Amino acid sequence: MQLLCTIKLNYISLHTSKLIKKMKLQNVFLFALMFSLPVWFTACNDDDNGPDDTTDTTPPEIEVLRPESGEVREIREGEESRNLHFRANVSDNVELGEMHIDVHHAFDDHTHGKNFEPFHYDKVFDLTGTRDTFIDYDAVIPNTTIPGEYHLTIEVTDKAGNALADGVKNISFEITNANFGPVWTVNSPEQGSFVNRGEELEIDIEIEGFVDVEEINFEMIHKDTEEVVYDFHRDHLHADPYHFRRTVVTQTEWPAGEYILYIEVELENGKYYHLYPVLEIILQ
Amino acid sequence: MNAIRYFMFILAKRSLILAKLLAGILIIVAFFLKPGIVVADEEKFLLYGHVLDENMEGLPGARIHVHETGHTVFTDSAGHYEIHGLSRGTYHIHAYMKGYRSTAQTISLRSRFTLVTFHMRPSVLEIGEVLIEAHPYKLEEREKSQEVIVLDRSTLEKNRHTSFAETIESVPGVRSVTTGPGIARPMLRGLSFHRIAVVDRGIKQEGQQWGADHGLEIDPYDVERVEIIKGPNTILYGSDASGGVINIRTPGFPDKGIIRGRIESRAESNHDLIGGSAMVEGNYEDNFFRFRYTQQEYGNYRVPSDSVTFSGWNFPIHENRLKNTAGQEMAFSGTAGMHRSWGHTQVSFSQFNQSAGLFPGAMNRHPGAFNPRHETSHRTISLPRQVTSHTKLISNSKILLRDNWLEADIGYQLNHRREEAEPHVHNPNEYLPEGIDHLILNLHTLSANVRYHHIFSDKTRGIFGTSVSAHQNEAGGYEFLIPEHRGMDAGIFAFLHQYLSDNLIINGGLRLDYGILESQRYDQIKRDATGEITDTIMRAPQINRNFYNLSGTAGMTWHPNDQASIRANLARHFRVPRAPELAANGFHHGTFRHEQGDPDLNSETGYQLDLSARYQNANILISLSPFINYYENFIYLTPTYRFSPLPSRGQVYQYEQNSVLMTGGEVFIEYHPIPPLHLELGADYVWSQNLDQNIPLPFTPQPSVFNEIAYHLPLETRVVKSPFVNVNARLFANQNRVARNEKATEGATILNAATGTSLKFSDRLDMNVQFQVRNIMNTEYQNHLSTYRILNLSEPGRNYTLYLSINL
Repeated sequence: MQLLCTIKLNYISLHTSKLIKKMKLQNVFLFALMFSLPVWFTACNDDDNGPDDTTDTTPPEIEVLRPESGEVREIREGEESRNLHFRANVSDNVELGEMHIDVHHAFDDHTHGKNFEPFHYDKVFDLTGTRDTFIDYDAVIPNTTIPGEYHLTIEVTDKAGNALADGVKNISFEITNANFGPVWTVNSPEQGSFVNRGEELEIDIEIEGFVDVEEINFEMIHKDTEEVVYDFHRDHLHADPYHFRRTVVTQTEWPAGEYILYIEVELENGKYYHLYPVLEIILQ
Repeated sequence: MNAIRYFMFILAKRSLILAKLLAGILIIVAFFLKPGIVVADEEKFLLYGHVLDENMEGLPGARIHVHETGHTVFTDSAGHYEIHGLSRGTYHIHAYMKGYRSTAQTISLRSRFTLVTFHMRPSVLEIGEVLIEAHPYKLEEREKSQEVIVLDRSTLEKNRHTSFAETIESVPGVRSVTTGPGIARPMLRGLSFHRIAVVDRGIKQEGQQWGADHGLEIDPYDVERVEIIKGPNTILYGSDASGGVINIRTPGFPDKGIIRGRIESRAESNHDLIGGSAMVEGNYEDNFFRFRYTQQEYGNYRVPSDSVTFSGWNFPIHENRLKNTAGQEMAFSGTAGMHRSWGHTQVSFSQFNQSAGLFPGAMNRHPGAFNPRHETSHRTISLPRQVTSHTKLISNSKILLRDNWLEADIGYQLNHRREEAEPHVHNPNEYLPEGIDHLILNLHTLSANVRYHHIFSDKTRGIFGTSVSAHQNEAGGYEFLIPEHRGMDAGIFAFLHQYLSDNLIINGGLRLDYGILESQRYDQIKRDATGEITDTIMRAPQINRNFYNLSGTAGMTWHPNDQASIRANLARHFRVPRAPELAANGFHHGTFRHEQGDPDLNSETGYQLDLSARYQNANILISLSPFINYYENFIYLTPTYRFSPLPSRGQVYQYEQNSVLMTGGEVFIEYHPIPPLHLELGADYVWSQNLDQNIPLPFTPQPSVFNEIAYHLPLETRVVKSPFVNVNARLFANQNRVARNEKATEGATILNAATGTSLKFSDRLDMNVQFQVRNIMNTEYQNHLSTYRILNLSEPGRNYTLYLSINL
C-alpha cells in the first residue's frame, strides 16, 4: 500500500514539476501534506484493535477423530446396514452451545426412486452446560444407500453464539454398497430369442440409475470366438432414468451362433454397472 | 388498491387520533393564514437587477434561477437581467456563473418593481455553496446547521456505476452495501437499511429495506441532483431518517417553447455492461413534460482470482468470472405538470425493473451440490435470482398562499420482490414444493406530506407540516420469512429558523409521531414427501403494536467571517421497528442464515451530535465533520447458540436491542494550487460499539481515504470544452473491529483514472465523452460491506468504462 502511495507521489512530481515552480512555497507544503496523509493513515492502520477481552468472542473448537478424511464405509453384499462412527472432542473457553452434524451426498441433486436413495443424516446435539466433551455417536447407513462421495458438515456454537473459526468443519468420505445397482427393464429383445441374419434387432432398455446415467457402452459379442461384431458408445448423457433404444441391422456375414449383448453404464457417482444377468440371443 | 382500502380502514378505526392530528395541523395552518385569501392577486411583478463581479462590473452570461417557479434567465452583456410574470410572494433566487461562487437570495416581492443585485466572488472550486433544493429547506447550504452534500449532474456522470448507491460513494462518509455489481443500498456513516431515508420526488422510497441483499430500486440515470444529509433528520422526514437522508431531485424544466433531449450510453468491460438512457422534455406555455427510458444489462463479473474458499472447501472460478452474477434492468418514467402564477404542480409515474442473479454457492450450505461451471452464456440469469420492480405514482405541488408556500407531496408505491430458487429438500422424506417462487413480497405504500413555509420576518422562518403513510405487505412463495403485515404512521412537526445576527443562525424543531403495526400470524403446514399434511407449526405470532415518539432537534451556524463557518446540531432521533424485526422467522437466503424477530422490540431512539467546521477561500476548501451518535436501543441481528429447526439449518440470528455508541467523521480538502489543477482528499472513519455486549456492530465500514488529482487540459477550442484527466486512489484500511462471527477484512488500495471532454457543436448539440479505468492494478480485494464477503468472494477486477452522452 505504501509502495503505491510512493508511486503516486512520483507520478505527481513528474507530471507537475513545471506547475510546482509556479506555486508559492506554502502551497507546495500544503500539497505535500495532503498527499502524505494517506501514508500516515496506512501506518496507523494496524493499531485498530478488535473487541475487548471482557466479552467472549473466542470460538469453540472441535477435533474430529472419526470419520477420517477419505474413509470408506463399505456395505457388503447381503448386509442390512453399516454404521458411520462419529467421534470428536468439542471444547470452548466458557460454555458450549449446540453442535449440528449433517451428512449430504456430494453428487448432483435430483429426484430419487424408491429402491435406492442418497444417504442423509442430520442431527443437533445440545452441549450446553459443558466446556469440554467427547462425542461418541453412530449413524446407521442402510443398504438402500446410493454409493459415492459424501460430505459430513459439522457446525458448533458456544453459548455466546460464537461459531467455529472457519464457520464449518467438513469431512469427505466414501460409501460403497455391494447391494446397489441400477434397475434395468428390458423391453426388447427377449432373453434367448432367435434372429435371422440380415434382419433388424430392436434394443429397448430402461435404466433407472438413482443418480444420473452418464455413459453407456453396448457390445454384441460372439459367445465362442469372443469377436465383437457391433459396438456403440455414448457419454455425457446426464439422464435418469435413461431410455436406451437402438436398432441393430444384423449382417449376413456375421457368424451364426449365440451372442452376448453386453450393456454397461457409468453413473454420475463414477461407478460402472452392467446388465445382469447378461442378455443372450441366437443369430441364425 | 389494497393499500387504499387499508388506509380507509385505518382511517375509520383510528379516526379519533387522526382527527386530533389533522385538527392540530389545521389550527396551525389557519393561524398563519389570513382568512379569505386563497390565491395570489392577478397583478404581475417585475424582478430586475445586475450581477456584478468583484470589481463591481457587470457579469454577462450569469444564470438567474427562481427556485419556486423554475424561471431561468441569463444576464445580458452589461450583466443586467429581468424576470417578468412573477406574482406577489417570497422567492429564492440563485445566481450561477462559472468561475464564481454560486449565491442565493431570499426576496419578498411586494412592490411592482423590485431590484435585486448579486455580487459574485471568484472561485475555482467545483463545490460551491449552493442552495439546498430538497424539501423542505430552501436555504443556502451555509445556513444549515447540518452539512449537506450536493452532487450535481456532472459529478454523478463522472462517478457513474451500475447502481445508484455506488454512484454516490465518492462522498466521504457514504458507502454502499452490495451484493455483486447490480444490487446496492446506500450507507451513511455506518448506517444503512431502515436507518437511511431515500427520498425520490419528495416521497420516501419504501421497499424491503431490511434485507442486506435487497438493492435500492432507483434508476441511476433518472437522478439529476442528489442532496445528502449525513445525520439524523427525523424531524422533517420521520422514522427512517435517523441515520441520514438521501434526497434525489429531478431536474428543473426547460424554458417556454423549448423541447430538448438527452441520450446517454455506457459500456463496461468487467461485466460486459451495456446500458443507456434516453430522455425527452419540453415546455409548452408553461405546461411541461418529461419522459425517460433506461435499459442496462450485464454479465457475470470478472475477479482477479481463479478460486475461492468458503465453508472449508475450495472452488475453482472458471474463466475468472463469478457464476450467475449477471443482471438486467429496465426503467421508465414520465412526468407532466404546469407552472402558473399560483405555483407549480406535477404528476410523475415511474417504474424500475431488475432481474439479478445471485452467486449459487450462496444458496447452498452443501457445497457438493454446487457446480461452479457456467451456464451456456455469461449473460444468462439462472437460479437463484431476484426479480424486483418498483412502481411509483407521485404528485408534487407548491402553492403560493399570499407570501408563503404550501407544499404537498402525495405518492403511491408498489414494491414487488420475487426471489426465485429451485426448491430443495434436505431429506428425501420431506415434501418438495413445486415451482421456483421461493419468496414473493409485495409492499404497497400510500404516503402524503404537507408542509407550510411561513416567513415571520426577514430573520425568522418556519416550517409546519404533517406526514401520513399507510402500508400493506403481502407475502407468498414456498418459503416463509416475514409475515403479511400492515400499518400506518403519522407525524406532525414544527421547525423554526432564526437569525440572531448577520452571522449567527439558530434553528430548532419538534415532532410527534404515532405508528401502528399489525402483523399476521403465520402457521406453516408441514407435509410429508407425498404431500399429506402431517402437522402445522406457528412461525409468526399475531402482533399488534402502537408506537409513540417525540423527537427534537436544535442547531446553530456561525460564520465568523465570509470564509469560515462552524456548525453544530443536536438531534433526538427515532425509528419505529419494522415487521421483519418483530416477526421474521425463516431462512434468509440473501444472508445465508435463519433470521428471527422479537415481537417485543421498542422504538429505536438516540441522540446525535454533529459538528462541522469549514474554511473556504478562492482556491481551497477544508471541511471537518465529526459526529457522535448514541442509541439507547439499537436493533441489530446477533447470532444465538441455537441451530435452526428448519431444514436448511444453520445458526439462528435473532433481532436484539442494545445501547450503542457510534462516532467518527469525515475530512474533505479540495485545493487548486493553480486554477487548472484540482487536488482532492477525502477521508472517513466510523467507530461503533455495542455498549451492552462490548463488541462492535456488524457492517461497520472500513476507514477509507480518497485522493484525486485532476488536471484541466489546456486544449480548449470552440468545440472542445473542459477536457480533463484525473488519477485517483481509494485506500481502504483493515477492518478488525467486527461483530461476533463476522470476518475481519483486509485493506486495499484501488487505483483509478479517467479522461474526458465535452464537445459543443452548436447551441442545440453538445456531447460528453469519458473513458475511465477502475482498479487499474487489478487488485484482488474484498469489501467488508458486501454480502458476498461471507463467501470470501473478491470484488470486481480491472474495469474499462466508456461513457457518452448527447444533448440535443
